[in-house]
Amino acid sequence: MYIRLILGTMLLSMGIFLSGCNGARESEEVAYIVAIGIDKAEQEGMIKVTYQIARPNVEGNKGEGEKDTVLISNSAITIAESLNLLKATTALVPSMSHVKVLVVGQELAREGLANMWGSLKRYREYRGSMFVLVAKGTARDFLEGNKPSFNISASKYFETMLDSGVETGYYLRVSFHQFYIRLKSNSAESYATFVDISNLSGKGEIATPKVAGSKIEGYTAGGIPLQGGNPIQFAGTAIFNGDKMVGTLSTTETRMMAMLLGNFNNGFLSIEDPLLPKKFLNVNLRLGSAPNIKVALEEERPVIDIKIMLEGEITNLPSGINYEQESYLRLLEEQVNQVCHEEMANMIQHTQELKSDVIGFGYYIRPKFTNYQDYLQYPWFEKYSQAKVNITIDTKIRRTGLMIRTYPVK
Amino acid sequence: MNDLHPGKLGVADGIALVFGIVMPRVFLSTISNLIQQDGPILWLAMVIYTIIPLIILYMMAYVHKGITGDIFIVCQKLIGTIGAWGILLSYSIMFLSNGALILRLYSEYTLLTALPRVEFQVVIVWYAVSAGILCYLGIEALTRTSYIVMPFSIAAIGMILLLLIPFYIVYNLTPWQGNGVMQAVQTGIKGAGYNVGVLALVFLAPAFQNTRTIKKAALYALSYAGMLRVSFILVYTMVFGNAVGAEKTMPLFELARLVYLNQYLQRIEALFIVVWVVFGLLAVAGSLYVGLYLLAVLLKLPTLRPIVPLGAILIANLAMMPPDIGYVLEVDQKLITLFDVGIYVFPTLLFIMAWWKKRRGKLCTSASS
Amino acid sequence: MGKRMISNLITGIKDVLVYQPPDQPTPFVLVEPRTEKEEIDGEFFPSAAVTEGIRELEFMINYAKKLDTFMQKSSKDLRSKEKHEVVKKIKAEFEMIQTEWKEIKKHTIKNHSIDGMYNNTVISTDINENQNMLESIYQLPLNKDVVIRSITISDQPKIKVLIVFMDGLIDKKIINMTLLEPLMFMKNSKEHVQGEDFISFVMEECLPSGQASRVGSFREVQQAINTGDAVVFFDGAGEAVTVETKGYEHRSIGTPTTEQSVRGSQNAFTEVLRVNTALIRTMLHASDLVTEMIPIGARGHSNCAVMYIKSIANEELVEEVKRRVSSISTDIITDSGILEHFIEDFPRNPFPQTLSTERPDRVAIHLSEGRVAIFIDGSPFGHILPVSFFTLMHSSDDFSLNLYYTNMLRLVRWFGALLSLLMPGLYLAISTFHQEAIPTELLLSIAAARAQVPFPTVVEILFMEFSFELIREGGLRIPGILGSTIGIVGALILGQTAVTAKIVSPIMVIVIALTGLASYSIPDYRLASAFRLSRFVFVLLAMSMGLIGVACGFLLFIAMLCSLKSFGMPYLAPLAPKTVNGGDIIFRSPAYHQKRRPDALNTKDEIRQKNTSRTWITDSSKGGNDHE
Repeated sequence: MYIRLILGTMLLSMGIFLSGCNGARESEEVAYIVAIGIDKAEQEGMIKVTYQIARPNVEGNKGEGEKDTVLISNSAITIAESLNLLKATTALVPSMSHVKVLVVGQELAREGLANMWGSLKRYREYRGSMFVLVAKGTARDFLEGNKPSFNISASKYFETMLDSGVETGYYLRVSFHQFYIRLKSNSAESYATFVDISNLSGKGEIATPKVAGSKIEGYTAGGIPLQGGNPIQFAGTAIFNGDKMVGTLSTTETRMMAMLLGNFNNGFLSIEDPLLPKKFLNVNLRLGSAPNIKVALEEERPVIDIKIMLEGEITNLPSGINYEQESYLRLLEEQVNQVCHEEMANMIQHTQELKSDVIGFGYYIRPKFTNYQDYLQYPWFEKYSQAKVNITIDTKIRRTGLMIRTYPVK
Repeated sequence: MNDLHPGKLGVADGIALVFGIVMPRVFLSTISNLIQQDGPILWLAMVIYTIIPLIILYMMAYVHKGITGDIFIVCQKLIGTIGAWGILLSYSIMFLSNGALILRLYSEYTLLTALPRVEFQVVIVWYAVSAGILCYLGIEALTRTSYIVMPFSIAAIGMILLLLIPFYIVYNLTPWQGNGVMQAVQTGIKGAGYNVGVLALVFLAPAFQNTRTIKKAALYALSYAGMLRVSFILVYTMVFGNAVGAEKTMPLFELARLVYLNQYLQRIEALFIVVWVVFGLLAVAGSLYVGLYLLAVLLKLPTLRPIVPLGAILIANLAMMPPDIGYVLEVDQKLITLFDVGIYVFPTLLFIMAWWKKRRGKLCTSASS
Repeated sequence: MGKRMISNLITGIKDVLVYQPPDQPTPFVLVEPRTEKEEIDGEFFPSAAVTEGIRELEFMINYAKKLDTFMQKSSKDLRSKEKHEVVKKIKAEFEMIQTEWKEIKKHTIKNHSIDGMYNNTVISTDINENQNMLESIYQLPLNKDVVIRSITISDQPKIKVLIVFMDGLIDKKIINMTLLEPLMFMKNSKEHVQGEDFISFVMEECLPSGQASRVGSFREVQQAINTGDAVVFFDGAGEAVTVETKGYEHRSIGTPTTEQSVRGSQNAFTEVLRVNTALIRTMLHASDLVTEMIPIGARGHSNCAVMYIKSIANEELVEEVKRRVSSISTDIITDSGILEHFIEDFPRNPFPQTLSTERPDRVAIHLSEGRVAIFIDGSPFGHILPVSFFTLMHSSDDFSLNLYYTNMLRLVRWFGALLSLLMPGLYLAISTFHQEAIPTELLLSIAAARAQVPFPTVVEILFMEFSFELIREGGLRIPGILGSTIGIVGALILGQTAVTAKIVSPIMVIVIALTGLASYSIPDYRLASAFRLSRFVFVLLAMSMGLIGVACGFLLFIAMLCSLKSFGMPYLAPLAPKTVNGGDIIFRSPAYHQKRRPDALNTKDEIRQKNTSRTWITDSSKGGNDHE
C-alpha cells in the first residue's frame, strides 16, 4: 500500500515536472486550417500553397462584414517547406488536423502531382478524410471567391456542400483516402470533384449536349448558369490517369458514374415525353440495387457487362397523358432506360477515350485471377480503352408522387 | 499457495492474460510487412497463426498433467536441471524481449500519433512505470484488469471495423490466392512464434485452478484473438488494398483515422488511442510478469514484488537501445526466429520426453505386473 | 518642595515615556504534566508506580502480620484472663487496627484510581466500602451527574441499600415507580432471608422492572451506570443488582437525510443503539438474527453491535469481524466511521470498504444476503460489510421501482460516475493535446472563448474545481436557513462573474458544473468523495500526457480496484474475479429471478429462493376449476 502511494506520488510529480515540455497546446494558440489550395507558382518548379485559416469568433473583436477566415499563400518547392514558411510567418501554430478540403489548381493537376501526395500522406496531421477538389482556375481564386451566402462557417460550408452532392449526383465527394487508394491501385483511376467560380452572369456553358430523348445538358463547374448566391460551383468530376488529370466529366456524366459506383441515391431526370416529344417528363431516380457489373477477359478485348436497376417516382407530368397507368408506365420506363443507356454509353466512351478507368472496372477483373502476380501483369489500363461495353438498364417507376392522375387544364 | 501461486485464477483470467499478451502485435507494423509478403490471402496466415499455438499448448498441457509442481520442476524431471535452466531462461528472455519490443514500438507510435512533441525517453519511462505498477499489483490484479477492459477494447475495435463499412472494397480480397497459398501457409507457420504468449498459461499453471481451466482459457483466448485478427486483416485489406496497405506504419491507427460517417462522426482516432494504449500496457505488463515469474521460479524466489522494479528498468533500458525504428523492425523480424524456437522446439522436446517417460513407465508397470 | 515637584515631574515624564507593561492576568500556560519518570542511564530506578506498589504490598504484609499477632494475642488473652478488661483492651486494639485498615484502604484506592478503571475490583460486602469506591470512581462529590441515594428497607433487620444512577440518563419516573417505591414499601419478609438469597428474593418479589440482573464486579457496575441503568447495592451482599431505567433524551426516528428515496421505507437510524437494532428487527423478523454486543473503548465503554443472520452469514466472516472489533484498544470511538478505520483492510485507500447507511431496510436486505452489520452507540449510521464496488453504486429504492426504469437510472448513475471521474481530465487532454477530436465549430468557439483568458486550461480547471469544492465545503458550514441560498447564489455569481471577468472560459464552467452534478449521482457519499479525489489525479495525468496519461491512469485505477479487498471479499467481486451472476451487478434482473445470494460472500445457504419463486404461475388458478 505504501509503495503504491510512493509510486503514485512519483507519477504525479513526474507529471507536474514534465508538464512544461510535453507539447500541450492551448486551443487558442493554434491556427486551424480548414482548406488548403495548391497551385503552380509563377517560378519554375515551385508550388503556391494557399491556406484558409479559421478565425475564432472572439466576442467584440469582429468587425462588420469581416470574413471568418484568413487566406495566406506562399510559394515553396514542396508542401512541407511551405508549411514551414507558414509557421514562420504566423503568430499561431498552424494545425492541419482540421483541414476539410484540398483544392488543386487544374494547371498543376494536369502536370501531375506524384511527388506531392506522398508528403501529404506521411505527415500525421494530414488526414485521409479531407476531400479532394480540382479547381478549374487556380485554387487561390477558388478559395478567395468562396462567400457562403448562408451564415455558416467555412468548414461547415465545405462539409455540407459536399454532403449535398448526393442529392443530385452532379458531383461526387472524394476523400483523399479514396483518391490515394486509386492512385496506387491497379484497378481504378483517381477522380476528384471539379469546382470553379462562376462569373454570375446567368449565362451557361454546355459541356455535353443532351442525348436523344433527354431534356438536360451537362455542365461542368463554372458553366452552370447562375445569378446571385455563392459564386463558387461544385459540378462535374476531374478524372485522372495515374497522377495526371486528363479531363473532366460533366454533371450528367458524373451522374452516370455515380450509378456505376453505386453512389447514386437521388436525382431528377428530365426527359422528353415519349408520346409528346415537345413536352417533358420529370422523374426522381435512385439505384434499386448495387450495379451488377461483369467483366469478361476475351482474347483481344475485354467485354464489360453492366446491369443497372433504377427505381423512380414521377415528379412532374405536364403533358397530362396518363402515364400512371400500367401500359403507359412501360413507355415511360422505356424512355428512361433509353436515355440513361445512351448517357452512360457516352460517358464510358468518354473515359475510354481519356484512357482512364475512373469507374473502377478493374476491380471486377480481380476475381478472374487466382494469383496476385498474374493480375498485376495483366495490362488492364491499356485494354480498358478497347473494351466493349454492354449496358442494360432496367427502370421501375414505383410511385407516382402525390397525384395518381392528371386532369387536363380546361 | 504463496504469493506466486494464488491458485485462484479462473478461465476468464487466463483468457485475459493470453489475449493481452498475444493481441497487440496486430496493431503494429508487422501487418504491413506481412501484407506485402502475402497479398490478399494474409487472413489464411492468421488462421494458421492461431491454430498452431493451440496444438502446442495442448501438448504442453499434456506434459504438465503428469507432474505436479511449477514449470521448473516439470522441466527438471524431464530433461534435467541444466536443460530446465536453459529452457526457462530462454523463455524468460523471450518474454522480456517481447515486452521490451512492444514497449519500444508503442512508445514510438505514441510519439507519431498522439504526442508528437514529447521526449521519447519520457514516454518509455512512463509506460515502463505504468506496466511496472500493474505487475507489482500482482497477477490477479493484472488478469482481472485486463479481463474487465477486454470487452470494451474489443468492442471499440469492432466499432472501428463496422464504422468503416462505407470504405470496404470487397474486390481487394481478390485474387484470392494472393501471392500464393503456400506463401501464406509459410508465413503462418513462421509467424506462429508471435503467439508464444499462450505458453504463459502453462508457466503459470500452478496459479490456475486446474488443467481444464488452462485448456479452456487457451482455446477461448486464441479463438477470440484469432477472430479479431482475421476480421481486422480482412477489413484492413478491404479498405486499403495491397499497395497502400503495405505502406502504413500503424494499421489500427490508420483505420481509426479514416472513420468518416458524416460531419459529426469523424476524427475519432484520438479516442481510440485510449484503447490502443490499454492494449499496449497490458501486453507489456503481461510479458514482464511472465518473464520475471520464470526468473523467480528459477531462482526459487518466494515473491515477485522486489524484482518488479528491476524488470521494469531492464525492459525500459532494452527498449531504449535501438537507435531508430527501422532497426527495431529489423530486430522484430529476427526475434521471431527466437519465438519460433520457443513455440516449436522446446514444447516438442518436452512433449516427446514426457511421452517417452510415460510409455516407459507404462512398460515398466506392465512388465512388473 | 521644589525638589519633590521636580522629582514628581521626572517620574511623571518617565511614566509617560517609558513603556509600562499593562496590568494583565498571568497568562495560563498548559504545561506538560510533570512525570515522575527519571531516566538515568546505567542505573535502574524503579518507576513511581512500581515503588508505590511495593510500598503498598509492604503495608499489607505489615498489616497482616499485625493482625495475626493481634488475633493470636487476643485469643490467648480471651482464654486466660478476666473477660471484662480483656474485652475492652481488645476492643480498643481492634479499633486501632480497623482505622489502620481504613488508612491502607484509602491509600490503595487512591493508588488504583491512577488508571481510573477498577475493572477488576469486586463488589465488597461492606456497603460503606462500596460507597467509597463509587465516590472515588465517579469523583464524587465533584461530579454532579452521579446520584447515590441511600435508603433503608425492611425494618427487621434494617438493611441499608444504595441506589446509584446517572442523572439525565435515567427516567425518574421509572426509578420512582419500579425501584424506590417497591423497595421502600417492602413488607418484612416472612422468612428470614439473607445474603444471596435475599437478593434473589428482592429481584423476584419487589423489582417490577423488565430487566434486572446481578452483577459482581465494578466493571459491570460502571457499564450499567454509564449506560443509564440504576445499580442497587445491598449491605452485606457481595453482589449488586442492575435495573433497567434507561430514559435519556434522544432524537426520535426521522427520515433519511443522506439517502432519500422516493419509494421504500422512510425510517432512518437514530443515535441510540438499541433503537437501531430494534428498527432492523421490525424489518427482519428472523429468529436467528443475532445481535452481539462487543464493548470497545477503554474509557468510552461504547457498545458495538454486530448483527448477522446465523443460518446465512459465513461463520468465518462473522468470527473475523468480531475478532477485529474486539481487538481494538483505544480510548473512545464515537462514530461508526471511526470504527471502520480500525477494522478495514485498506484504511489508506480512499474507497469505502463498507457500506454506510442510515436506512434499516437496506441493512435488513443486506443481512439477508449474508452480510454482517455493525452499529456503534451514538452513531446513526450502520455499516454493512463486506461490500463490493457494485453494491455501493446501488441505491436503496432500486428494487422498489420498475425493472427497466431502475436499469436506466443505474445506467445514468454509472455514466455520472464516469463523468465525475474523467470529465475534467478528458476535457483537458483533448483540448490541449488532441484538438482534432473536437468538432471544428466547437473547437473554434472554445478557442474564441479562451482567447482572452490569461491562464492555461489546467489552471482554469484547478481554479474552478477549487471554487466548487469551496462552495460545497463552505455551504456545509453556512448556518441552516442561509445555506442553500448562499450556495446557489455563490455558485451562480461566481461562475457568471468569473466568465465575464475572463478568468475562466464559459465552456469550463459547463465542464465543472457537469462534473459536480455528476458526482452527486453516485449514491454513496464516501464513494463520491473517493471519485472526487481521484479526479484531481486524472487532471494531473491529463496535464502531463494527454489521453495517454488518462488511459494509463484509468487502467491503473481499475487495477487498484481489482487488488482491493473488503473483509476478504474482492472489491469488484461478481465481475473480477468472475463469479456466478446473482442478477444484481450493474443492471438488475427481476426480483423473482434472483435465485442465489451473492456468490462471493460464500454464504451457508446460497439459494435465496426456489427456481419457481412465483408458484402461482404453475398452479392452476382457482377461478376456472371451481366447479369440479
